[in-house]
Amino acid sequence: MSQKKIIFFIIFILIGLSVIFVWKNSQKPQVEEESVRDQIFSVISDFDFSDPKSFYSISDIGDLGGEETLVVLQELIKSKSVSDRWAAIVLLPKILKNNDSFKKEVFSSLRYGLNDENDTLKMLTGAQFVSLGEKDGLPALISSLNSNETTHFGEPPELVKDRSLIYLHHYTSYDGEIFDEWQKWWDDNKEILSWNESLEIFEIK
Amino acid sequence: MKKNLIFFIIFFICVIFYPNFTQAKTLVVSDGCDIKITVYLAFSFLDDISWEKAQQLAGVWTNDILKIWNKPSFNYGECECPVHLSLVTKSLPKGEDCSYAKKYLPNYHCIDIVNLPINKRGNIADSTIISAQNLNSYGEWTTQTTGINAAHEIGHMLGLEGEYRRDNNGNWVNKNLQTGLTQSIMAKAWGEVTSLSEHIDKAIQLSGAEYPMPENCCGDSECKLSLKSTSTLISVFPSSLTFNDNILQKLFIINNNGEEILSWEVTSNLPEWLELSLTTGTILPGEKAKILAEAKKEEVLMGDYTSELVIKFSNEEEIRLPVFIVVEVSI
Repeated sequence: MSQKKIIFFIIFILIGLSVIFVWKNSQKPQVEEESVRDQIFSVISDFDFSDPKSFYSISDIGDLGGEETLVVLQELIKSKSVSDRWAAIVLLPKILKNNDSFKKEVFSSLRYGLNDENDTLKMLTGAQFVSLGEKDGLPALISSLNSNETTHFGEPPELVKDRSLIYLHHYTSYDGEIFDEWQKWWDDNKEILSWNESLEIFEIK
Repeated sequence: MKKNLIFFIIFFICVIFYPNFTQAKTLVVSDGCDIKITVYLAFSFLDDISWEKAQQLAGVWTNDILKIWNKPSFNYGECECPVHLSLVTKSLPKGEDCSYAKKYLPNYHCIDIVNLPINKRGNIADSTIISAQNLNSYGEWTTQTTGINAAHEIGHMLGLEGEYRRDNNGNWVNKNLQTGLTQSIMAKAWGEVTSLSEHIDKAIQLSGAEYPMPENCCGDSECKLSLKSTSTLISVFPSSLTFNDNILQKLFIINNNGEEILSWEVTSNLPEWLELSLTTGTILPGEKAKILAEAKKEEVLMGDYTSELVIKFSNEEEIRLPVFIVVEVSI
């Protein structure tokens, strides 16, 4: 093969690769939007209660800032599947990490979890709310003190009521132990509780 | 050409297997008939809240870990050599995550601590299970991780699997039921729990150490008499010292939270610009030593200087304390 032909062949290959590169990039936004949705469903489909570690892959879901993510999680929080709802409760607050503009939508979706029939999910939603400075999560945590179930998700396994009490102690300065004490504290103070941003706890004004 | 190829193959093998040669941070050593498992554990307190609670959290975790994992009845092998667990803990400098530990503390397991109800994997606390292939454990705990949670996670750092599963409805099922006895820490993290002899046996086997028994131990009656549940827990606070033009004195504290008298010594050469009020001493169980470190700014020109204090203890443990000085205006 002559030198001229070789140079022509290399130029031809380079032009071909450039065309493929430009074409792939023009498709990228659509692929990314698709992939978040696909990623979430792919992760959820691998959840297996007999293998608690299968739930760890929830952290593999990357970019959670997009509106499409919110739409998917809004579907999941109303799902009949307890695993789907758990995924939504874990992921919804993460949307706010990089994008505060969906705050209203995130809270409104997460609110479904406050009345979840599953004790673990109800307690977890309460904790998510409270950690974001929303006192509406406190009644869910307080009612979880009456649960006799073990946690259905998360490592290590615990009692729902024990975990709930840990969250209550962590996010408030009250040291109550039993349901009645906490219920009375809530009834007495719910109107005067305010979120201390720097300490990340609820204080009585 | 052939020579180069051989060098390349050797280099490639070293790169691939380097971590296995150097990383091992649950150590099993024997002293006479006593077997000691030491877990080296670094914590990275990532946000302001967790940083503020660092000492309190580390204290609760280490106390409960040692309480659950040190049983006077634990022994190993035919000689019934007593086994005890100790922890060497360290807190990373503020703002540094476990990638710092991978670089500067390769001998430590490392746990990131976040002030959230659950971590990114949806757990209260998790850590990878160590194995011959993965000798360092990394994980993420929360500020709401309890002492029992921490003790469960230490089990993973000893190489143990969780002893539970969940049924189709998510209900917890104990895979290692102890009928009529206290349940295993690896099965649950509430109520009364305990570590088991089988855990210790497995941890020693998984450590990769050959049976660490001295040859003359078997048949020696002294072996069986020396059951003890001593534990040492040494911590140095803060975990690093940073000086600048305005801050030229810092106090650091060595805590002996164990049950043995410890003597200590700074074995590294001090940089010219640093003086310590003490370089050696003895600390009684539950006591602490306070050491004043003073930077001599006049000894250095403008710039950043880094050094490290190596503190060696009578139980052969060692703690490294990074020291930094930033001089912007030299005298």
